[in-house]
Amino acid sequence: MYIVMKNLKKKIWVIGLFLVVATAVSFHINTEKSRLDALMFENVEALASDEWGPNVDCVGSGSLDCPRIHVKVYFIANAR
Amino acid sequence: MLVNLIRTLCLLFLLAACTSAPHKAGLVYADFPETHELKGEAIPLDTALFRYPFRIRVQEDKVFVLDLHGTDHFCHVFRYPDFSYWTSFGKRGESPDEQLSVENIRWNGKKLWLLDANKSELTRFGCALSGDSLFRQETVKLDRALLRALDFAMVDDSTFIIPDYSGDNRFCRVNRQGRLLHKMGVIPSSNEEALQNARPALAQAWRSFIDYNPRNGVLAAVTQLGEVLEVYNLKDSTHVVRIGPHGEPEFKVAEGYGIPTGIMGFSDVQVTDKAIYAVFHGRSFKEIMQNAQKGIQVDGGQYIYVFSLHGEPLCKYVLDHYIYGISVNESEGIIYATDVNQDDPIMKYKMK
Repeated sequence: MYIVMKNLKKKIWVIGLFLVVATAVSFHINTEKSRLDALMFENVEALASDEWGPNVDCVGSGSLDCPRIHVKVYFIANAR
Repeated sequence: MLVNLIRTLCLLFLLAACTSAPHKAGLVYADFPETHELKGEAIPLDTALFRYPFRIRVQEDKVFVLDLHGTDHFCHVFRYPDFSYWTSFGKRGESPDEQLSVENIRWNGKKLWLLDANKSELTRFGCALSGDSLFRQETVKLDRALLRALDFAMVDDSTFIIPDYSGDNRFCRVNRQGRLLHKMGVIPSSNEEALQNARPALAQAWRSFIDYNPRNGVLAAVTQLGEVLEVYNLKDSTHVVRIGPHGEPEFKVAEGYGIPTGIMGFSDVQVTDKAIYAVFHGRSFKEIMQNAQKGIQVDGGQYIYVFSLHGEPLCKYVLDHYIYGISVNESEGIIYATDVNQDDPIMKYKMK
């Protein structure tokens, strides 16, 4: 009986330890993901303001509404 | 005590798992329960009028086709069912009686409305007494607060619904005088940063085509980029968002503009009495640009997706042509579609 109880206690400790680690990892991943998302958005903003320059290219005839010249075009791209 | 500790940890673990849930703001669909291949029949026309046949409407004994890049006129009318040419209207030009652009045409009862985004006007056309032409009957100048109206639907004889281009809301209700009554809904995006900092670009990326059926009160909106369907039931005030495998519209922000980066999504939608039909493209801009560099320019979608009036996927039609606009006649089991890639641009499909 004593041995069975001892084994059960051991098992509970192992499960507990696993849950602590899993919880910590999960929180860590979430925090990391939001940090990455924020960084990515900052990069997009940086590209938008500096690197991409003043031109947005609207090419061809299509159905996309070119936000700059208000005609319908085939595709919209950055002129770099 | 140990058991309590484990219970607490389990709860924490479950909460942590919940916070890492996917960011989708709506219900996700992966595929359609049924897929059918359809072979179309090109309708021979006695005139070569079109540059970019974008919308098609069948109304009683006439077929109305909107040419998005029309040279002289934006709209052409044919007799139905023989498709002989009848007349053209919506003359391109800069005078007060002419159109700078035409985004869509819609029938409301016996009245035909036309939206010009560049003039920010809705115009009503009527049939002349002689019965051989259409003429302007009424012009509604749209409220400046609407920014840019790229599609419209009529809820009743006195109210228009127009997608909101500011990004603050989803739709604008506009009265018969063109005045903004109120805005409703929000863009169901999971892009929190764009919602906070780049709403105009977000609204551009979420440009949607809409249709409303007054018989069942269903307003459907499909995104031109990505793969999102929204179903609003204006009678019971329910709202469903369905997101397909290609996800929500993807874009970059440049100078405040939303630059498409993902895929071309839907190009037309129709709400019938039983279902929602939408034309889907599903081609990436990377592929489109690569093909354009090789001189290949295929435009349009090879799929018609059918959803229930609650937005559940029912059936996918795979077509033998790339099409843009559709006119679905459920009772006869016929879909008329426009194909911008060929000289005979009107296709007829029989549904299975």
